[in-house]
Amino acid sequence: MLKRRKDGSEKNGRIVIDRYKCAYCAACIAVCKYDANLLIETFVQVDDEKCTLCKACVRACPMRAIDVVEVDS
Amino acid sequence: MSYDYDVVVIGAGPGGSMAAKTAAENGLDVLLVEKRQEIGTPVRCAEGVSKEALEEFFEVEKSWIAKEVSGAIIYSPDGTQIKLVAGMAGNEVGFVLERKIFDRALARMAAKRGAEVIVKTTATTMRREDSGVVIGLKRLGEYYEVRSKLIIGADGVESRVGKWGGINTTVKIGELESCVQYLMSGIDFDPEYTHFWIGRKYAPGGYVWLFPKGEDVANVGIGVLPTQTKKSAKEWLDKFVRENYPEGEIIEVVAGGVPVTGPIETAVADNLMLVGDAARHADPITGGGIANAIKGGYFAGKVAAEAVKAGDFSKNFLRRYDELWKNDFGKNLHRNKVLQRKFVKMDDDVLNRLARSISDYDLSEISVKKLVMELIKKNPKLLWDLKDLFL
Repeated sequence: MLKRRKDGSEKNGRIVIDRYKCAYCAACIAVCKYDANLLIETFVQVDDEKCTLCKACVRACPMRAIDVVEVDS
Repeated sequence: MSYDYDVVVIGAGPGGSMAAKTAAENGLDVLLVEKRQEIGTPVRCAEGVSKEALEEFFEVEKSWIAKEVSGAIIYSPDGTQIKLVAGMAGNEVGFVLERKIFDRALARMAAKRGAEVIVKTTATTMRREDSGVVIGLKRLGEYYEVRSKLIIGADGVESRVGKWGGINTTVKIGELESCVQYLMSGIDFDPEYTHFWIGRKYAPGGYVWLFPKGEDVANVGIGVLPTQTKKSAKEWLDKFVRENYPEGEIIEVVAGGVPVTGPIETAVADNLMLVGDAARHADPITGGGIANAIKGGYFAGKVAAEAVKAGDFSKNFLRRYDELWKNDFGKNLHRNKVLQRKFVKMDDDVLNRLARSISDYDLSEISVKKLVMELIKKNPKLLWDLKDLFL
């Protein structure tokens, strides 16, 4: 599934959070410019519509719990 | 419109509970909202705070304190030690808190002063109506709205309240310390000191800490800057633990993101004030946030009471809160941000040289300022640009 960013460019993937590694610290939310991540108690929810795959959250995660998986177009 | 509350505080960490307590003490109708089902867990924190910072506001109870320490030892990459020891008459000892107990005690104080406290409730929306705010809350799956004159966002590093008020609090990836910590038992260290390891060898853009919680139990943690390393904080900490404390058992894991942005321009908007990590009030050098959160919470609670008395909830009126925190710890945030920028650029050789320049005598105060002042005296050329800030 190919997605379109706001600027019209395409993104081909999505953010996946490994629930077994996540320690709900919310570092990923603090660095998200697009407000795409939300912490609901012990559950980080990613809004695929808002996410631009900038990967700031991937880099910020102290537990390396976040990754981008490619999605077949 | 009619109001359900004078002030709604989002987040029951030390900053939020202090704001709620102070506002309630000053006669306001207060609601304190915590999204987790338990106040105080999971912590995201190394639990260190200076004795002074607590005693300014509380009769400190024994149960809050896991361990008292009398000094700090900093290890440079080549193992050179810098010792900072509390002066003879000094009050500058450190506490390592038991946050699970401390946070609950603070929330209970707020409740005792008359604040209403609700847990397992997430604030999901905010809109302005007339001269107040309508706050959407989701409690155990049920959505409802409350009307308030003011909202205080003490909702941590992931703050949404600030964004609702139009304050851009997004933390740049180069200004977030990515942190992991293990509570380790059965390890050998000097329990009279907190211990810090600096340098790229240990923690690019940050440091490793060991905060004693007992004779053989300690918080062993790390903060790294994601822009300074490709490896995660956890990978760096695992390496440190493997090399230094292989005998220990990890009995708790906590993670955190610490904002090291330095002071933000404003922590207020119409009807709204930010406190603690939400206001990016953590110290850019130490990463410590508890002391400033408590002070900020106190200031915000006071200003809330003044605003209610004056019937003025505008940004203009609430700027009093900005003035209070800026005049108090705002200067330190600025100073330590400048220092942090410089620290991040130093390679291990420079850190070794600096450490060696002052390693032969003990500093009689546990403070960043004192440490840097001594370093500047011994290394005027290397640190000339810090001179005006510290001397």
